[in-house]
Amino acid sequence: MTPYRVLALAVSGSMFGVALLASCASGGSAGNSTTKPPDATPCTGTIAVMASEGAAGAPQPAQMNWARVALDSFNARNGSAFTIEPSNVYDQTSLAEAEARRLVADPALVGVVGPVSSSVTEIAGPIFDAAGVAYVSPSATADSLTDGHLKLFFRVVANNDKQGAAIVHLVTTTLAPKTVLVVDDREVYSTNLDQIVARSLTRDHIKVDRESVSVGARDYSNVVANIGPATNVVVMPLVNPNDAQHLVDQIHAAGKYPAIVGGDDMFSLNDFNEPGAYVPTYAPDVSKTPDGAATLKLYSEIFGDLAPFAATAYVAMQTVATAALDSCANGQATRAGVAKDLPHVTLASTLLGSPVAFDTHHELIGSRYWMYRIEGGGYELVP
Amino acid sequence: MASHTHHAHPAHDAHMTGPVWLPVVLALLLGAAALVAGLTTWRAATHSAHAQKAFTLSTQATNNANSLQQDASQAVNSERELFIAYEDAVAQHDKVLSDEVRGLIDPSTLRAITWWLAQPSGARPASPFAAANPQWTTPRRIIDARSALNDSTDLLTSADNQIHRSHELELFDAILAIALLTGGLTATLQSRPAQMILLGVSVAVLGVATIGLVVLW
Repeated sequence: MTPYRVLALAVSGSMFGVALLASCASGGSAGNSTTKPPDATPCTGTIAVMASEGAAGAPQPAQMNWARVALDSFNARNGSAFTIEPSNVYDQTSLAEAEARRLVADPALVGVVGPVSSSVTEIAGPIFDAAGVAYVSPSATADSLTDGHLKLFFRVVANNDKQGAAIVHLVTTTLAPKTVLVVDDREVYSTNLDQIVARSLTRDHIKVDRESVSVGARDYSNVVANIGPATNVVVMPLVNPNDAQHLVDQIHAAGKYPAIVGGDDMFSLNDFNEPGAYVPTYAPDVSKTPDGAATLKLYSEIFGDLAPFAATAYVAMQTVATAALDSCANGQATRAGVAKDLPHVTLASTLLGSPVAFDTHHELIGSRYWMYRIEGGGYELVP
Repeated sequence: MASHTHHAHPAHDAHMTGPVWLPVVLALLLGAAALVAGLTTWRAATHSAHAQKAFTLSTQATNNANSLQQDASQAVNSERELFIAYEDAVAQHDKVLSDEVRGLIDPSTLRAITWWLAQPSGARPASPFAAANPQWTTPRRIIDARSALNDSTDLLTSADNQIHRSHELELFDAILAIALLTGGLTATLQSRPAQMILLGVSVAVLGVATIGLVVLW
Protein backbone atom coordinates (compact mmCIF):
# COMPACT_ATOMS: atom_id res chain seq x y z
CA MET A 1 0.00 0.00 0.00
CA THR A 2 1.46 3.37 -1.03
CA PRO A 3 1.76 6.19 1.48
CA TYR A 4 -0.87 8.18 -0.45
CA ARG A 5 -3.41 5.39 -0.08
CA VAL A 6 -2.66 5.12 3.62
CA LEU A 7 -3.20 8.86 3.91
CA ALA A 8 -6.43 8.63 1.94
CA LEU A 9 -7.74 5.88 4.20
CA ALA A 10 -6.78 7.84 7.31
CA VAL A 11 -8.49 11.00 6.11
CA SER A 12 -11.60 9.10 5.06
CA GLY A 13 -11.76 7.44 8.46
CA SER A 14 -11.45 10.81 10.16
CA MET A 15 -14.30 12.23 8.08
CA PHE A 16 -16.48 9.27 8.91
CA GLY A 17 -15.73 9.86 12.58
CA VAL A 18 -16.60 13.54 12.24
CA ALA A 19 -19.91 12.66 10.59
CA LEU A 20 -20.73 10.21 13.38
CA LEU A 21 -19.89 12.77 16.06
CA ALA A 22 -21.97 15.36 14.26
CA SER A 23 -24.97 13.09 14.17
CA CYS A 24 -24.55 12.35 17.88
CA ALA A 25 -24.37 16.05 18.68
CA SER A 26 -27.45 16.91 16.68
CA GLY A 27 -30.03 16.28 19.34
CA GLY A 28 -30.87 19.99 19.59
CA SER A 29 -34.24 21.22 20.63
CA ALA A 30 -36.64 23.04 18.40
CA GLY A 31 -36.28 26.76 18.85
CA ASN A 32 -35.10 28.68 21.85
CA SER A 33 -36.89 27.60 24.93
CA THR A 34 -37.40 30.46 27.35
CA THR A 35 -35.92 30.10 30.82
CA LYS A 36 -38.61 29.27 33.30
CA PRO A 37 -38.21 29.43 37.03
CA PRO A 38 -37.67 26.12 38.75
CA ASP A 39 -40.58 24.42 40.45
CA ALA A 40 -38.87 24.62 43.86
CA THR A 41 -40.49 26.42 46.79
CA PRO A 42 -40.75 30.08 45.82
CA CYS A 43 -38.79 32.55 47.90
CA THR A 44 -40.97 34.68 50.16
CA GLY A 45 -40.55 37.90 52.11
CA THR A 46 -42.16 41.30 52.44
CA ILE A 47 -40.77 44.39 50.75
CA ALA A 48 -42.22 47.66 51.99
CA VAL A 49 -42.71 50.68 49.78
CA MET A 50 -42.68 54.00 51.61
CA ALA A 51 -44.43 56.31 49.14
CA SER A 52 -47.78 57.87 48.45
CA GLU A 53 -50.64 55.39 48.13
CA GLY A 54 -52.72 57.96 46.28
CA ALA A 55 -55.26 58.77 48.98
CA ALA A 56 -57.59 61.68 48.36
CA GLY A 57 -55.63 64.95 48.50
CA ALA A 58 -52.26 63.17 48.49
CA PRO A 59 -49.73 63.13 45.65
CA GLN A 60 -50.38 60.67 42.85
CA PRO A 61 -49.11 57.15 43.61
CA ALA A 62 -46.74 57.01 40.64
CA GLN A 63 -43.81 55.66 42.67
CA MET A 64 -46.02 53.07 44.40
CA ASN A 65 -47.34 52.01 40.98
CA TRP A 66 -43.89 51.62 39.46
CA ALA A 67 -42.68 49.66 42.50
CA ARG A 68 -45.68 47.33 42.29
CA VAL A 69 -45.18 46.73 38.56
CA ALA A 70 -41.52 45.94 39.27
CA LEU A 71 -42.33 43.49 42.05
CA ASP A 72 -45.02 41.62 40.13
CA SER A 73 -42.77 41.42 37.05
CA PHE A 74 -39.86 40.23 39.18
CA ASN A 75 -41.97 37.52 40.79
CA ALA A 76 -43.29 36.38 37.41
CA ARG A 77 -39.82 36.22 35.93
CA ASN A 78 -38.06 34.54 38.85
CA GLY A 79 -40.75 32.38 40.36
CA SER A 80 -40.47 34.23 43.67
CA ALA A 81 -43.41 35.20 45.89
CA PHE A 82 -42.34 38.46 47.51
CA THR A 83 -45.21 40.63 48.70
CA ILE A 84 -45.59 44.38 48.90
CA GLU A 85 -46.31 46.27 52.12
CA PRO A 86 -47.43 49.83 51.49
CA SER A 87 -46.40 52.63 53.80
CA ASN A 88 -48.25 55.81 52.99
CA VAL A 89 -45.49 58.34 53.73
CA TYR A 90 -44.06 60.74 51.16
CA ASP A 91 -42.89 64.03 52.64
CA GLN A 92 -44.78 63.97 55.96
CA THR A 93 -41.96 63.91 58.50
CA SER A 94 -44.55 63.67 61.28
CA LEU A 95 -45.52 60.17 60.10
CA ALA A 96 -42.03 58.90 59.37
CA GLU A 97 -41.05 57.55 62.79
CA ALA A 98 -44.31 55.73 63.53
CA GLU A 99 -44.44 54.16 60.08
CA ALA A 100 -40.80 53.07 60.23
CA ARG A 101 -41.44 51.44 63.61
CA ARG A 102 -44.57 49.70 62.28
CA LEU A 103 -42.64 48.30 59.33
CA VAL A 104 -39.66 46.96 61.27
CA ALA A 105 -41.98 45.26 63.75
CA ASP A 106 -43.07 42.90 60.95
CA PRO A 107 -40.67 39.93 61.07
CA ALA A 108 -41.40 39.14 57.41
CA LEU A 109 -40.03 42.52 56.29
CA VAL A 110 -36.75 42.04 54.41
CA GLY A 111 -36.20 45.44 52.76
CA VAL A 112 -37.70 48.82 51.97
CA VAL A 113 -38.13 50.82 48.80
CA GLY A 114 -37.98 54.40 50.00
CA PRO A 115 -38.28 56.75 51.71
CA VAL A 116 -38.93 59.05 48.81
CA SER A 117 -37.84 62.30 50.47
CA SER A 118 -34.57 63.21 52.13
CA SER A 119 -36.24 64.67 55.23
CA VAL A 120 -38.26 61.49 55.85
CA THR A 121 -35.10 59.45 55.29
CA GLU A 122 -33.30 61.35 58.04
CA ILE A 123 -36.03 60.29 60.50
CA ALA A 124 -36.87 56.76 59.31
CA GLY A 125 -33.29 55.81 58.40
CA PRO A 126 -31.91 55.36 61.94
CA ILE A 127 -34.90 53.14 62.80
CA PHE A 128 -34.29 50.94 59.75
CA ASP A 129 -30.57 50.85 60.54
CA ALA A 130 -31.20 49.72 64.11
CA ALA A 131 -33.49 46.94 62.87
CA GLY A 132 -30.99 45.83 60.21
CA VAL A 133 -33.36 46.68 57.33
CA ALA A 134 -31.75 47.98 54.16
CA TYR A 135 -33.63 50.73 52.31
CA VAL A 136 -33.24 51.92 48.74
CA SER A 137 -34.59 55.34 47.89
CA PRO A 138 -35.88 56.13 44.41
CA SER A 139 -35.72 59.90 44.92
CA ALA A 140 -33.97 61.12 48.09
CA THR A 141 -31.09 63.23 46.80
CA ALA A 142 -29.58 65.09 49.79
CA ASP A 143 -25.81 64.72 49.81
CA SER A 144 -25.67 64.16 53.57
CA LEU A 145 -27.62 60.90 53.37
CA THR A 146 -24.54 59.03 52.19
CA ASP A 147 -22.01 60.62 54.54
CA GLY A 148 -21.95 57.40 56.56
CA HIS A 149 -24.41 58.14 59.35
CA LEU A 150 -27.11 56.01 57.67
CA LYS A 151 -25.52 52.59 57.42
CA LEU A 152 -28.08 50.77 55.29
CA PHE A 153 -29.23 53.61 53.04
CA PHE A 154 -28.88 53.17 49.27
CA ARG A 155 -30.24 55.20 46.40
CA VAL A 156 -30.69 54.65 42.69
CA VAL A 157 -30.55 58.33 41.78
CA ALA A 158 -27.85 60.96 41.66
CA ASN A 159 -27.35 63.31 44.62
CA ASN A 160 -27.85 67.07 44.85
CA ASP A 161 -24.19 67.69 44.20
CA LYS A 162 -24.73 66.30 40.71
CA GLN A 163 -27.98 68.21 40.35
CA GLY A 164 -26.15 71.42 41.21
CA ALA A 165 -23.45 70.56 38.70
CA ALA A 166 -26.09 69.97 36.01
CA ILE A 167 -27.69 73.36 36.72
CA VAL A 168 -24.34 75.15 36.67
CA HIS A 169 -23.41 73.40 33.43
CA LEU A 170 -26.66 74.54 31.82
CA VAL A 171 -26.29 78.12 33.03
CA THR A 172 -22.67 78.50 31.98
CA THR A 173 -22.84 76.69 28.64
CA THR A 174 -26.31 77.53 27.32
CA LEU A 175 -27.75 80.62 28.99
CA ALA A 176 -24.90 83.16 28.60
CA PRO A 177 -25.36 84.51 32.14
CA LYS A 178 -24.76 88.14 33.03
CA THR A 179 -26.24 88.19 36.52
CA VAL A 180 -27.89 85.13 38.06
CA LEU A 181 -30.53 85.43 40.77
CA VAL A 182 -30.62 82.33 42.99
CA VAL A 183 -33.85 81.90 44.99
CA ASP A 184 -34.36 79.48 47.89
CA ASP A 185 -37.39 78.76 50.05
CA ARG A 186 -35.43 78.25 53.31
CA GLU A 187 -35.98 74.46 53.13
CA VAL A 188 -32.90 72.23 53.46
CA TYR A 189 -33.26 70.88 49.91
CA SER A 190 -33.49 74.34 48.40
CA THR A 191 -30.80 76.08 50.44
CA ASN A 192 -28.26 73.27 50.02
CA LEU A 193 -28.80 73.18 46.29
CA ASP A 194 -28.59 76.96 46.01
CA GLN A 195 -25.33 76.98 47.94
CA ILE A 196 -23.81 74.50 45.50
CA VAL A 197 -25.00 76.52 42.50
CA ALA A 198 -24.00 79.92 43.89
CA ARG A 199 -20.55 78.70 44.94
CA SER A 200 -19.83 77.22 41.53
CA LEU A 201 -21.09 80.24 39.59
CA THR A 202 -19.09 82.64 41.78
CA ARG A 203 -16.02 80.50 41.21
CA ASP A 204 -16.66 80.97 37.49
CA HIS A 205 -16.69 84.78 38.04
CA ILE A 206 -20.41 85.09 37.34
CA LYS A 207 -22.30 87.68 39.38
CA VAL A 208 -24.80 86.00 41.69
CA ASP A 209 -27.62 87.60 43.71
CA ARG A 210 -29.49 85.68 46.42
CA GLU A 211 -33.09 85.90 47.57
CA SER A 212 -35.19 83.84 49.97
CA VAL A 213 -38.92 83.18 50.07
CA SER A 214 -41.18 81.07 52.28
CA VAL A 215 -42.88 77.81 51.34
CA GLY A 216 -46.47 78.52 50.35
CA ALA A 217 -45.89 82.27 49.94
CA ARG A 218 -48.18 84.16 47.56
CA ASP A 219 -46.35 87.48 47.33
CA TYR A 220 -42.98 87.38 45.60
CA SER A 221 -42.52 91.10 45.08
CA ASN A 222 -39.11 91.02 46.81
CA VAL A 223 -37.84 88.54 44.24
CA VAL A 224 -39.36 90.42 41.32
CA ALA A 225 -37.78 93.67 42.53
CA ASN A 226 -34.39 91.99 42.71
CA ILE A 227 -34.45 91.07 39.02
CA GLY A 228 -32.50 93.94 37.50
CA PRO A 229 -31.81 94.71 33.83
CA ALA A 230 -28.65 92.58 33.93
CA THR A 231 -30.37 89.59 35.51
CA ASN A 232 -31.02 87.17 32.68
CA VAL A 233 -31.16 83.90 34.64
CA VAL A 234 -33.21 82.97 37.74
CA VAL A 235 -32.36 79.68 39.44
CA MET A 236 -35.22 78.65 41.74
CA PRO A 237 -35.14 75.05 43.02
CA LEU A 238 -38.16 75.37 45.29
CA VAL A 239 -39.61 72.44 47.23
CA ASN A 240 -43.14 73.19 46.15
CA PRO A 241 -43.60 73.36 42.36
CA ASN A 242 -46.82 75.37 42.80
CA ASP A 243 -44.79 78.06 44.55
CA ALA A 244 -42.41 78.10 41.61
CA GLN A 245 -45.30 78.49 39.19
CA HIS A 246 -46.67 81.44 41.17
CA LEU A 247 -43.23 83.06 41.31
CA VAL A 248 -42.75 82.74 37.56
CA ASP A 249 -46.23 84.14 36.92
CA GLN A 250 -45.41 87.21 39.01
CA ILE A 251 -42.04 87.72 37.30
CA HIS A 252 -43.73 87.69 33.90
CA ALA A 253 -46.55 89.89 35.13
CA ALA A 254 -43.88 92.50 35.91
CA GLY A 255 -42.72 92.35 32.29
CA LYS A 256 -39.48 90.49 33.09
CA TYR A 257 -38.46 87.41 31.16
CA PRO A 258 -35.21 85.92 32.46
CA ALA A 259 -34.40 82.28 31.76
CA ILE A 260 -35.98 80.13 34.48
CA VAL A 261 -34.12 77.14 35.91
CA GLY A 262 -35.84 74.93 38.49
CA GLY A 263 -34.96 71.92 40.62
CA ASP A 264 -36.01 68.29 40.23
CA ASP A 265 -39.00 68.79 42.55
CA MET A 266 -40.47 70.87 39.74
CA PHE A 267 -40.25 68.06 37.19
CA SER A 268 -44.01 67.58 37.06
CA LEU A 269 -46.03 69.14 34.28
CA ASN A 270 -49.18 68.97 36.38
CA ASP A 271 -47.63 71.40 38.86
CA PHE A 272 -45.06 73.37 36.89
CA ASN A 273 -45.45 73.88 33.15
CA GLU A 274 -43.83 77.18 32.26
CA PRO A 275 -42.91 77.09 28.55
CA GLY A 276 -39.19 77.65 28.05
CA ALA A 277 -38.26 76.86 31.66
CA TYR A 278 -35.51 74.33 32.40
CA VAL A 279 -35.94 71.55 34.94
CA PRO A 280 -33.46 68.83 35.86
CA THR A 281 -34.43 65.27 36.75
CA TYR A 282 -32.62 62.29 38.18
CA ALA A 283 -34.24 59.88 35.70
CA PRO A 284 -34.34 59.96 31.93
CA ASP A 285 -37.73 60.05 30.25
CA VAL A 286 -38.50 56.32 30.23
CA SER A 287 -41.30 56.84 27.77
CA LYS A 288 -38.50 57.22 25.24
CA THR A 289 -36.54 54.06 26.15
CA PRO A 290 -37.69 50.80 24.50
CA ASP A 291 -38.34 48.91 27.75
CA GLY A 292 -39.89 51.94 29.40
CA ALA A 293 -42.25 52.66 26.53
CA ALA A 294 -43.38 49.02 26.44
CA THR A 295 -44.00 48.99 30.19
CA LEU A 296 -45.91 52.26 30.10
CA LYS A 297 -48.07 50.98 27.27
CA LEU A 298 -48.89 47.77 29.09
CA TYR A 299 -49.51 48.97 32.61
CA SER A 300 -50.69 52.56 32.44
CA GLU A 301 -54.24 51.43 31.66
CA ILE A 302 -54.47 49.33 34.78
CA PHE A 303 -52.37 51.42 37.16
CA GLY A 304 -53.37 54.83 35.91
CA ASP A 305 -50.51 57.10 36.88
CA LEU A 306 -47.14 55.83 35.72
CA ALA A 307 -45.41 59.20 35.43
CA PRO A 308 -42.05 58.57 33.76
CA PHE A 309 -40.09 60.52 36.41
CA ALA A 310 -41.13 57.94 39.04
CA ALA A 311 -39.64 54.99 37.15
CA THR A 312 -36.68 55.02 39.54
CA ALA A 313 -39.05 53.28 41.98
CA TYR A 314 -39.14 50.38 39.52
CA VAL A 315 -35.35 50.15 39.64
CA ALA A 316 -35.28 50.51 43.44
CA MET A 317 -37.71 47.60 43.80
CA GLN A 318 -35.76 45.54 41.27
CA THR A 319 -32.62 46.14 43.34
CA VAL A 320 -34.16 45.12 46.67
CA ALA A 321 -35.90 42.08 45.16
CA THR A 322 -32.67 40.96 43.50
CA ALA A 323 -30.82 41.13 46.82
CA ALA A 324 -33.68 39.26 48.51
CA LEU A 325 -33.62 36.49 45.92
CA ASP A 326 -29.83 36.25 45.86
CA SER A 327 -29.70 35.83 49.62
CA CYS A 328 -32.75 33.56 49.84
CA ALA A 329 -32.33 30.38 51.85
CA ASN A 330 -34.91 27.63 52.39
CA GLY A 331 -37.55 29.63 50.58
CA GLN A 332 -37.24 32.65 52.86
CA ALA A 333 -35.39 35.91 52.33
CA THR A 334 -34.05 37.66 55.41
CA ARG A 335 -33.32 41.28 56.20
CA ALA A 336 -29.76 40.33 57.19
CA GLY A 337 -29.28 38.63 53.84
CA VAL A 338 -30.64 41.60 51.92
CA ALA A 339 -28.50 44.07 53.89
CA LYS A 340 -25.41 41.95 53.22
CA ASP A 341 -26.16 41.41 49.54
CA LEU A 342 -27.31 44.90 48.50
CA PRO A 343 -23.85 46.50 48.25
CA HIS A 344 -22.91 43.84 45.72
CA VAL A 345 -26.09 43.86 43.63
CA THR A 346 -25.48 44.66 39.98
CA LEU A 347 -28.12 44.99 37.29
CA ALA A 348 -26.59 45.02 33.83
CA SER A 349 -29.43 47.04 32.36
CA THR A 350 -32.63 48.57 33.64
CA LEU A 351 -35.76 50.28 32.45
CA LEU A 352 -33.87 53.57 32.69
CA GLY A 353 -31.37 52.38 30.10
CA SER A 354 -28.46 52.35 32.55
CA PRO A 355 -26.95 49.70 34.87
CA VAL A 356 -27.13 49.56 38.67
CA ALA A 357 -24.15 49.09 40.98
CA PHE A 358 -23.26 50.88 44.20
CA ASP A 359 -20.01 52.45 45.35
CA THR A 360 -18.67 52.19 48.88
CA HIS A 361 -20.91 55.09 50.00
CA HIS A 362 -23.96 53.28 48.57
CA GLU A 363 -24.29 55.87 45.83
CA LEU A 364 -25.29 54.71 42.36
CA ILE A 365 -22.19 54.37 40.20
CA GLY A 366 -22.45 56.48 37.05
CA SER A 367 -25.49 58.42 38.29
CA ARG A 368 -26.28 61.72 36.62
CA TYR A 369 -28.94 64.36 36.10
CA TRP A 370 -30.78 65.07 32.88
CA MET A 371 -31.83 68.60 31.95
CA TYR A 372 -35.12 69.19 30.16
CA ARG A 373 -36.75 72.26 28.65
CA ILE A 374 -40.53 72.59 28.82
CA GLU A 375 -41.86 72.97 25.28
CA GLY A 376 -45.24 72.35 23.72
CA GLY A 377 -46.71 70.85 26.87
CA GLY A 378 -43.88 68.33 27.16
CA TYR A 379 -40.21 67.97 27.96
CA GLU A 380 -37.37 68.30 25.45
CA LEU A 381 -34.01 66.93 26.48
CA VAL A 382 -31.24 69.53 26.58
CA PRO A 383 -28.05 67.83 25.37
CA MET B 1 0.72 -0.77 -36.33
CA ALA B 2 0.36 2.44 -34.59
CA SER B 3 -3.40 2.26 -34.79
CA HIS B 4 -3.31 -1.39 -33.57
CA THR B 5 -1.24 -0.37 -30.59
CA HIS B 6 -3.83 2.22 -29.60
CA HIS B 7 -6.69 -0.27 -29.81
CA ALA B 8 -4.70 -2.87 -27.91
CA HIS B 9 -4.14 -0.56 -24.89
CA PRO B 10 -7.31 1.59 -24.43
CA ALA B 11 -6.74 1.77 -20.69
CA HIS B 12 -3.41 3.41 -21.23
CA ASP B 13 -5.13 6.30 -23.15
CA ALA B 14 -7.66 6.89 -20.36
CA HIS B 15 -5.00 6.99 -17.67
CA MET B 16 -4.91 10.27 -15.72
CA THR B 17 -2.01 12.51 -16.46
CA GLY B 18 -0.40 14.76 -13.90
CA PRO B 19 1.38 14.32 -10.58
CA VAL B 20 1.27 10.96 -8.91
CA TRP B 21 -0.58 12.32 -5.85
CA LEU B 22 -3.41 13.82 -7.91
CA PRO B 23 -5.75 10.78 -7.94
CA VAL B 24 -5.53 10.42 -4.16
CA VAL B 25 -6.13 14.13 -3.59
CA LEU B 26 -9.06 14.12 -5.99
CA ALA B 27 -10.58 11.10 -4.31
CA LEU B 28 -10.25 12.77 -0.93
CA LEU B 29 -11.60 16.03 -2.26
CA LEU B 30 -14.64 14.49 -3.89
CA GLY B 31 -15.26 12.32 -0.84
CA ALA B 32 -15.03 15.30 1.47
CA ALA B 33 -17.31 17.33 -0.78
CA ALA B 34 -19.87 14.54 -0.77
CA LEU B 35 -19.65 14.25 3.02
CA VAL B 36 -20.03 18.00 3.55
CA ALA B 37 -22.91 18.07 1.07
CA GLY B 38 -24.64 15.27 2.94
CA LEU B 39 -24.16 16.95 6.31
CA THR B 40 -25.32 20.28 4.91
CA THR B 41 -28.50 18.76 3.49
CA TRP B 42 -29.18 17.00 6.76
CA ARG B 43 -28.65 20.17 8.87
CA ALA B 44 -30.82 22.21 6.50
CA ALA B 45 -33.61 19.66 6.87
CA THR B 46 -33.19 19.65 10.66
CA HIS B 47 -33.37 23.45 10.89
CA SER B 48 -36.40 23.45 8.65
CA ALA B 49 -38.14 20.89 10.88
CA HIS B 50 -37.29 22.90 14.00
CA ALA B 51 -38.65 26.01 12.33
CA GLN B 52 -41.95 24.26 11.59
CA LYS B 53 -42.21 23.15 15.19
CA ALA B 54 -41.39 26.64 16.48
CA PHE B 55 -43.98 28.20 14.13
CA THR B 56 -46.61 25.84 15.47
CA LEU B 57 -45.67 26.52 19.09
CA SER B 58 -45.61 30.25 18.39
CA THR B 59 -49.14 30.17 17.01
CA GLN B 60 -50.28 28.23 20.04
CA ALA B 61 -48.51 30.64 22.42
CA THR B 62 -50.05 33.63 20.66
CA ASN B 63 -53.50 32.13 21.09
CA ASN B 64 -52.78 31.52 24.77
CA ALA B 65 -51.51 35.08 25.19
CA ASN B 66 -54.59 36.54 23.52
CA SER B 67 -56.83 34.42 25.70
CA LEU B 68 -54.97 35.46 28.87
CA GLN B 69 -55.08 39.10 27.79
CA GLN B 70 -58.83 38.94 27.22
CA ASP B 71 -59.36 37.21 30.57
CA ALA B 72 -57.28 39.84 32.35
CA SER B 73 -59.09 42.74 30.68
CA GLN B 74 -62.41 41.14 31.52
CA ALA B 75 -61.31 40.70 35.14
CA VAL B 76 -60.30 44.38 35.37
CA ASN B 77 -63.71 45.53 34.12
CA SER B 78 -65.67 42.96 36.08
CA GLU B 79 -64.06 43.68 39.45
CA ARG B 80 -64.58 47.42 39.03
CA GLU B 81 -68.21 47.07 37.98
CA LEU B 82 -69.02 44.69 40.82
CA PHE B 83 -67.26 46.91 43.36
CA ILE B 84 -69.27 49.94 42.22
CA ALA B 85 -72.49 47.91 42.43
CA TYR B 86 -71.49 46.74 45.91
CA GLU B 87 -70.70 50.28 47.08
CA ASP B 88 -74.03 51.48 45.68
CA ALA B 89 -75.91 48.77 47.55
CA VAL B 90 -74.06 49.57 50.78
CA ALA B 91 -74.76 53.29 50.34
CA GLN B 92 -78.45 52.53 49.89
CA HIS B 93 -78.38 50.27 52.97
CA ASP B 94 -79.74 47.48 50.78
CA LYS B 95 -78.35 44.48 52.62
CA VAL B 96 -79.98 41.93 50.35
CA LEU B 97 -78.52 43.51 47.22
CA SER B 98 -75.10 44.05 48.79
CA ASP B 99 -75.00 40.40 49.87
CA GLU B 100 -76.00 39.33 46.38
CA VAL B 101 -73.31 41.45 44.75
CA ARG B 102 -70.76 40.20 47.30
CA GLY B 103 -71.68 36.68 46.31
CA LEU B 104 -70.84 37.47 42.71
CA ILE B 105 -67.38 38.82 43.53
CA ASP B 106 -64.57 36.30 43.18
CA PRO B 107 -62.52 35.47 46.32
CA SER B 108 -59.35 37.34 45.30
CA THR B 109 -61.29 40.53 44.54
CA LEU B 110 -63.14 40.13 47.81
CA ARG B 111 -59.82 39.94 49.66
CA ALA B 112 -58.69 43.12 47.87
CA ILE B 113 -61.87 44.93 48.92
CA THR B 114 -61.60 43.64 52.49
CA TRP B 115 -58.01 44.93 52.74
CA TRP B 116 -59.06 48.32 51.42
CA LEU B 117 -62.02 48.60 53.80
CA ALA B 118 -59.70 47.81 56.71
CA GLN B 119 -57.44 50.81 55.98
CA PRO B 120 -58.04 54.19 57.66
CA SER B 121 -60.55 55.96 55.41
CA GLY B 122 -58.53 59.18 55.19
CA ALA B 123 -55.28 57.52 54.16
CA ARG B 124 -56.29 54.61 51.97
CA PRO B 125 -55.98 54.54 48.19
CA ALA B 126 -58.84 55.92 46.14
CA SER B 127 -60.08 52.40 45.33
CA PRO B 128 -59.26 48.80 46.30
CA PHE B 129 -57.70 48.34 42.87
CA ALA B 130 -54.52 50.23 43.61
CA ALA B 131 -50.85 49.24 43.48
CA ALA B 132 -50.59 49.61 47.25
CA ASN B 133 -53.11 46.85 47.83
CA PRO B 134 -51.12 43.63 48.30
CA GLN B 135 -54.32 41.57 48.02
CA TRP B 136 -55.11 42.86 44.53
CA THR B 137 -53.75 40.18 42.21
CA THR B 138 -55.11 41.26 38.83
CA PRO B 139 -51.85 43.00 37.79
CA ARG B 140 -50.12 39.63 37.91
CA ARG B 141 -52.60 38.32 35.34
CA ILE B 142 -51.68 41.18 33.03
CA ILE B 143 -48.01 40.37 33.51
CA ASP B 144 -48.59 36.67 32.81
CA ALA B 145 -50.43 37.60 29.61
CA ARG B 146 -47.52 39.73 28.55
CA SER B 147 -45.09 36.96 29.40
CA ALA B 148 -47.08 34.56 27.20
CA LEU B 149 -46.98 37.09 24.39
CA ASN B 150 -43.21 37.46 24.82
CA ASP B 151 -42.88 33.67 24.64
CA SER B 152 -44.77 33.58 21.37
CA THR B 153 -42.61 36.36 19.97
CA ASP B 154 -39.46 34.52 21.03
CA LEU B 155 -40.66 31.36 19.32
CA LEU B 156 -41.50 33.24 16.16
CA THR B 157 -38.05 34.83 16.15
CA SER B 158 -36.49 31.43 16.67
CA ALA B 159 -38.51 29.97 13.78
CA ASP B 160 -37.40 32.83 11.54
CA ASN B 161 -33.76 32.21 12.47
CA GLN B 162 -34.04 28.48 11.78
CA ILE B 163 -35.65 29.03 8.40
CA HIS B 164 -32.96 31.54 7.53
CA ARG B 165 -30.21 29.09 8.46
CA SER B 166 -31.92 26.31 6.57
CA HIS B 167 -32.06 28.41 3.42
CA GLU B 168 -28.42 29.43 3.72
CA LEU B 169 -27.36 25.81 4.19
CA GLU B 170 -29.31 24.87 1.07
CA LEU B 171 -27.38 27.57 -0.77
CA PHE B 172 -24.09 26.07 0.41
CA ASP B 173 -25.34 22.70 -0.75
CA ALA B 174 -25.85 24.11 -4.24
CA ILE B 175 -22.44 25.76 -4.18
CA LEU B 176 -20.84 22.43 -3.26
CA ALA B 177 -21.95 21.07 -6.63
CA ILE B 178 -19.27 23.36 -8.10
CA ALA B 179 -16.61 21.55 -6.07
CA LEU B 180 -17.86 18.19 -7.28
CA LEU B 181 -17.97 19.38 -10.88
CA THR B 182 -14.53 20.99 -10.94
CA GLY B 183 -13.03 18.08 -9.00
CA GLY B 184 -14.43 15.62 -11.51
CA LEU B 185 -13.29 17.69 -14.48
CA THR B 186 -9.75 17.87 -13.10
CA ALA B 187 -9.24 14.19 -13.85
CA THR B 188 -10.11 14.65 -17.52
CA LEU B 189 -7.67 17.47 -18.30
CA GLN B 190 -4.21 17.03 -19.79
CA SER B 191 -2.87 20.46 -19.00
CA ARG B 192 -1.24 20.63 -15.60
CA PRO B 193 -1.92 24.35 -15.03
CA ALA B 194 -5.61 23.75 -15.86
CA GLN B 195 -5.66 20.85 -13.42
CA MET B 196 -4.18 23.01 -10.69
CA ILE B 197 -6.70 25.79 -11.32
CA LEU B 198 -9.69 23.46 -11.14
CA LEU B 199 -8.23 21.74 -8.10
CA GLY B 200 -7.77 25.13 -6.45
CA VAL B 201 -11.37 26.06 -7.22
CA SER B 202 -12.59 22.77 -5.77
CA VAL B 203 -10.58 23.21 -2.57
CA ALA B 204 -11.71 26.81 -2.17
CA VAL B 205 -15.39 25.98 -2.66
CA LEU B 206 -15.16 23.04 -0.29
CA GLY B 207 -13.44 25.26 2.28
CA VAL B 208 -16.12 27.94 2.06
CA ALA B 209 -18.91 25.38 2.28
CA THR B 210 -17.30 23.68 5.28
CA ILE B 211 -16.91 26.98 7.12
CA GLY B 212 -20.51 27.83 6.29
CA LEU B 213 -21.66 24.47 7.63
CA VAL B 214 -19.74 24.98 10.88
CA VAL B 215 -21.07 28.51 11.35
CA LEU B 216 -24.67 27.60 10.56
CA TRP B 217 -24.63 24.20 12.28
